[in-house]
Amino acid sequence: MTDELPPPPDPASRQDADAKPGTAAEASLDRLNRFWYVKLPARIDPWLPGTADALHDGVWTADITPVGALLPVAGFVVGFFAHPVFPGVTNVWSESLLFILVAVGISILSRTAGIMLLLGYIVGDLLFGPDFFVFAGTFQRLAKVYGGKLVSYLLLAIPTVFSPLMARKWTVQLARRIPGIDPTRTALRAGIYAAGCGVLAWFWAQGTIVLIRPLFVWVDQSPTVEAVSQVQTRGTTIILTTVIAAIARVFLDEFFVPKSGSVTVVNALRAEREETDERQGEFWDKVPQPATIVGTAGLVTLLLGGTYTSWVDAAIVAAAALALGALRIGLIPGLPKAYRDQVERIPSMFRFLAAFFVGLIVSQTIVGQMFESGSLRPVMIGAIVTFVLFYALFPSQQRSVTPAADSVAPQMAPPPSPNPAAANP
Amino acid sequence: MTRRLLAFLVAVAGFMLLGVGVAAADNCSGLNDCWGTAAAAGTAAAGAGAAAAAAAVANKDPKGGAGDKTGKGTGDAAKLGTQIPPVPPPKTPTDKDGKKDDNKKKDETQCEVERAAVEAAEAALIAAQSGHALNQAGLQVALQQAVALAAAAQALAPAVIAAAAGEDPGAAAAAASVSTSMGQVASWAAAMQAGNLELARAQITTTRAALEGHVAVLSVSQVEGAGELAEAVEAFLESLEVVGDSAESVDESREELDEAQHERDEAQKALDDCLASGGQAV
Repeated sequence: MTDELPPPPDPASRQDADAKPGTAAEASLDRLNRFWYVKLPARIDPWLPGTADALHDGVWTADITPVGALLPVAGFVVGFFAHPVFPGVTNVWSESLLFILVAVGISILSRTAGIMLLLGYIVGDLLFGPDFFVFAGTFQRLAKVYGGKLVSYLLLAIPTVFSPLMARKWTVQLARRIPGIDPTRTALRAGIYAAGCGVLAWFWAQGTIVLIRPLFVWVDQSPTVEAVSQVQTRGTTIILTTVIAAIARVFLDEFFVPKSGSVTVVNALRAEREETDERQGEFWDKVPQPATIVGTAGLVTLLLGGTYTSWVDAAIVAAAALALGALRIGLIPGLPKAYRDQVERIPSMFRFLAAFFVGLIVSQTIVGQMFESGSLRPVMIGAIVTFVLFYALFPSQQRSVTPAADSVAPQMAPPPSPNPAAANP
Repeated sequence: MTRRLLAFLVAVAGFMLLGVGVAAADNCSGLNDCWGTAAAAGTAAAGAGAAAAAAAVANKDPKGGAGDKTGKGTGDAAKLGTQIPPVPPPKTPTDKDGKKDDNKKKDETQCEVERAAVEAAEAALIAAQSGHALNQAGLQVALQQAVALAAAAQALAPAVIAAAAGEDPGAAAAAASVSTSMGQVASWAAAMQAGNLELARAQITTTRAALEGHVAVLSVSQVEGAGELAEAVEAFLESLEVVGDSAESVDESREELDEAQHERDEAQKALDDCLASGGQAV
């Protein structure tokens, strides 16, 4: 197969490659590779550029026949059959430790497969899960059923879509800031990436304990023991899996991709992707910023639904998220520019950890004071305080300056500069 | 290929087979049901906030962003696996891969605009640094002059105090106050030289208000030396004007310097992005 696609990015050569497949099976695998890593991202580019890039993430497996072509399919199948196949999955994915481990592991190895697993789970959950395509009942009832499901999907999206991306951004940013060490060293990258993935897995496991509740309480049920216990008591296993997968990803990536004899397929697909991403963000960039604030506030309000004791809590969270969003893009005056500039010099990983641990201390204090009450409100307050801290430490404007972009920027060793100290502030 | 596939499958199976088991936990109907301790509940609360932030804050705007002057967006990083692309090796005559060389040439060409922007931003930064240094030097000179005039006025004050004793108590009090104020000039001048412009400004305002009243008293007094002291104080007050203007210039040039520094950083980021997305082997 590696002979089928010549080095990029000569379109004529690529046509030759398409025209001379060795076998029908290899031609099919080639087509699948191009579908997953070029055509599908190109289709999504105008609308969801980040998701399009994420779909391209698994391209490094394209040289491992037939893994590159079939891993996303496998991801979809695993997600789709989560309910009937994985032991324990009755109401939601969090009831099966095995499913959680597979989901986080696959997603770190290939976010293409992770996204397909998420998609497969959503489709499978609607078909095989509880409340199978409920259309009867009041609007309020349907909103509660599907709202709860949406929360569970968002929670699954965190380790399958968001966390690997965030950990990778931390890796490329932090590796370059460690003095005296070559940032391209595999062990260094593996260490940072594994630490980032592990930390994020721990945060996620802790949060999921409470955030999964809407799936149950919004339809007047109590969360099952299994839905909570996996993330609550098996956190170590999840983190360990995450760390191993992260290390494996970096070393496998290193092991397979640089081999000159087999690099051609990956390089060809990457070059083709570069050529077809011209429309990236074409429609996404036209979404008005106030709309993104409202959308984000809605997302946060929904996601924190598990901490609410009444509608007042939801209103408080929505108002806070709206105000913070407006503050962040400068719709209302807020943090001074000097502060933003200074805080953005700190690596994102450290800021993330600082926000979490300060939030942790505050949350534990608040919850400790109100623990005997039995109400979940102190948990909501702790969550919103932590959330505010994140905004304070990631203060950049949404489109002109973003923490994500800030994190991504230092990917390369800096080019020669007349002022090295200034080049690495 | 089979060996690689095997290695891959072993790696995948390795983490999948890690301890699979279920430990008992109470259901999560309320705070005390969910967690045994407040600390555990607090950790979950912080975890919930972090999860919401991860979904809402830290992953916003996947394309484009800080200093994205390339227009290509910074989502390119998402295509780069976990590897950090090395600096492109120099093209060698023995490189037989003609197409690869063409690509490199194209990438370098694509980044020329960004590289030029970095150079321009660095030139602007150097200009801003020079301007700021000049303004700081101007402030130093103005401060030295003010301190010298203050010392001269302070030297005249004792004679006026002695001459005015019993004859013109108002002039004596004004001269004494002038002496005290002038004695403090050196300290706030030092604060200003150290960069504490706000504190120094406040003291200048206070000193000026006091001295202007004393000048009025001394200039009409018949006591010997009072007129000279009034003139010396007026000269000092004029030097304060120069100090104030110089401090303002320093403030402005510092802002310009910060801005130039920021612009340079942004240009550097854009160049990094461009180079990183320019077909580097990953």
